[in-house]
Amino acid sequence: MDILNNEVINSPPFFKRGGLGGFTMKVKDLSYGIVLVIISIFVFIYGSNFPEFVVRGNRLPGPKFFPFLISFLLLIFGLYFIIRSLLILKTSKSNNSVEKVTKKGLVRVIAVIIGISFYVPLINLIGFKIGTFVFSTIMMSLFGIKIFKSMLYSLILTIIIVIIFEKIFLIPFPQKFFPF
Amino acid sequence: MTYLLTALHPNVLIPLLLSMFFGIFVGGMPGLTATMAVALIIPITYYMPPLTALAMILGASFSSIFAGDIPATFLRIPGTPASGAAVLDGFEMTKKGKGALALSLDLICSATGGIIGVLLLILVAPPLAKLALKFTNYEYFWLGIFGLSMSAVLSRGNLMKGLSSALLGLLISTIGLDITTGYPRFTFGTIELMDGIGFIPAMIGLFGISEVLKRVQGTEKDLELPAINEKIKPSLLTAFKIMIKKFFVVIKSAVIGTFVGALPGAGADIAAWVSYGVEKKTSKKSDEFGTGVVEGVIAPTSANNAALGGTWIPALVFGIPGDTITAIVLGAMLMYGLRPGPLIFQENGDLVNGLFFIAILIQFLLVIVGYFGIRAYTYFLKMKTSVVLAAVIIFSIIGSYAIRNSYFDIYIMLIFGLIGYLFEKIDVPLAPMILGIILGPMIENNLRVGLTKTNGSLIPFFTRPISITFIVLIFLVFFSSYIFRLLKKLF
Repeated sequence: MDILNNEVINSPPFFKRGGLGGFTMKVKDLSYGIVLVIISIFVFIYGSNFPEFVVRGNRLPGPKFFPFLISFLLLIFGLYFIIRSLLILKTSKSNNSVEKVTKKGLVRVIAVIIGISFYVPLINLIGFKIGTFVFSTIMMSLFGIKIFKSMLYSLILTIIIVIIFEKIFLIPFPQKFFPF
Repeated sequence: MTYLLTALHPNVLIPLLLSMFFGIFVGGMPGLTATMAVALIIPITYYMPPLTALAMILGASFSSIFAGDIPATFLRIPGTPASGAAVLDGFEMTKKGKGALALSLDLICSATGGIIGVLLLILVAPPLAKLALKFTNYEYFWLGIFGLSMSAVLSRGNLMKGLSSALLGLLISTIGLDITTGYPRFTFGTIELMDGIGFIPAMIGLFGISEVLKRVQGTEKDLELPAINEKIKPSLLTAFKIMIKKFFVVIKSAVIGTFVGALPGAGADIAAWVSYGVEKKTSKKSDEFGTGVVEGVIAPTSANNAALGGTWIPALVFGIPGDTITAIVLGAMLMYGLRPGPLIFQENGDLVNGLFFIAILIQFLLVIVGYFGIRAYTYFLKMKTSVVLAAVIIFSIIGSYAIRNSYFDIYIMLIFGLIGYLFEKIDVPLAPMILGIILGPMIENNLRVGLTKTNGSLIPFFTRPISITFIVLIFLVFFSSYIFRLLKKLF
């Protein structure tokens, strides 16, 4: 599969030259500034519903006071990053430009995120022990270990985890097929 | 002399050693904190004599604080919050193939810092505790701002990004029930968010999962952990020689650590950050901090263990917890029939003296237990890197879950893992955000209470002597490099 080649992604401009690592400082600052402005505007809108805090007729700093104060400062920072990135004409490479994202690497990143997202439903469906074993085997295979070795390592890992967390710390996990 | 004999009795020593191994194990596990180690050991100590029980608590807390530095150094995952600052240079040393030396230095400095901390606890407890007692909301507010400023300044790269990261941390800390009015803020109707964002899952995500994502994003070669390429054998003698050369850094950091630890609410994590920041600011090679310099390992590790001694000052003398560990300890002491406060020195003098002696003894035992801890930990790391990464993901998931037995915390960890991954891509430092999350409640509550006391007037925040001291310190944090340069030019 072409997508699994260890080549640097070069199709979308976003990933150009070293993927996210090649993202220029100017674009980074602009994106970060926009994110900060969006967050602060969201806090102002969402927080406007927070009640006032009035004691015996005195209006005291209430639930919205601190978030609004922080958001106001974040707004200033956001605007600073936006203006600075727009004023700087010359783009410079970031410090992280050496850390390249490969196609296969990106697939692994997405798979880890999806894997963690589905871990909870998985252990609820087939139980903690089998779920952890299956999850671990998938992750190890994804990281390049052959399937049988992955299964063996996962079995050992699962046993260690069960002993530590279930038997010693008595943390409750879904049991399903192994009620012991 | 009786307390010496009692402290050295096998009935005390054996449980103490066991608790230290337990502390190494729990502290070394990403997601399991020193607080959790102490909390887990309390039920076991219930049936023991008070000295044995308190010895076990002390042993578990000191060893777990050190053990938190093991994954911090090898995996860039702080085992405990107090190891956050140890990540910066410790992990960079590991990347250079000096992980074993970093940890050996860490161990020796932790023990030495611990001794200094305990000696200060014994010698200067009453005056320091008295000073901390003078703090009001205004001083606590500035203390929080001071801690936050330090983390923003010491983060590598852009100061503005460091400050904005700290502000984001403060904003995240507002999620949950408002402590004054009980109004749910930014919970979106979710019950799990009522208690706020879990600090441990957030930290595991920011430092653990983001690191895994960073490792798997590249080629197969990038999957290798640097620690595995090194023959990991603690070199205590080399570390000891380095420590002797840098002994002033150890003393300075331990003293700062003890002082910060003695301030209620500050604890070992802030002590480590403040010491790291001070060392970075005052060092001749401040630009090299964060690239794997020994001073960057010595300062936070000497400070965090010394801070544990400091946290006992207000706890023991005034019954005010210095951190979450001593908060649990105070509850446990009441359970053992002890009443923390000034009278404890008269009513239970032998016990207190025995405890002081044990606290010193623990530092020597820590070198032995820690040595074996590092050796044992390396077996985990000698496994195939891909296996370690998969194990790190699973331990991170379960560590996040185990804090509150909450599936929701797993998703919190994942979200923060993504935030950490993306923020590193755009060169935004993560440490100030973490500190913002920790200090947020303290800063907000003291600001609001302070303003409420004065009907909205800001004047007391700027007029009280200790507040002014903190303001000057904050000013120095931001402008010390310029001031030093100016002074150099003038003289």
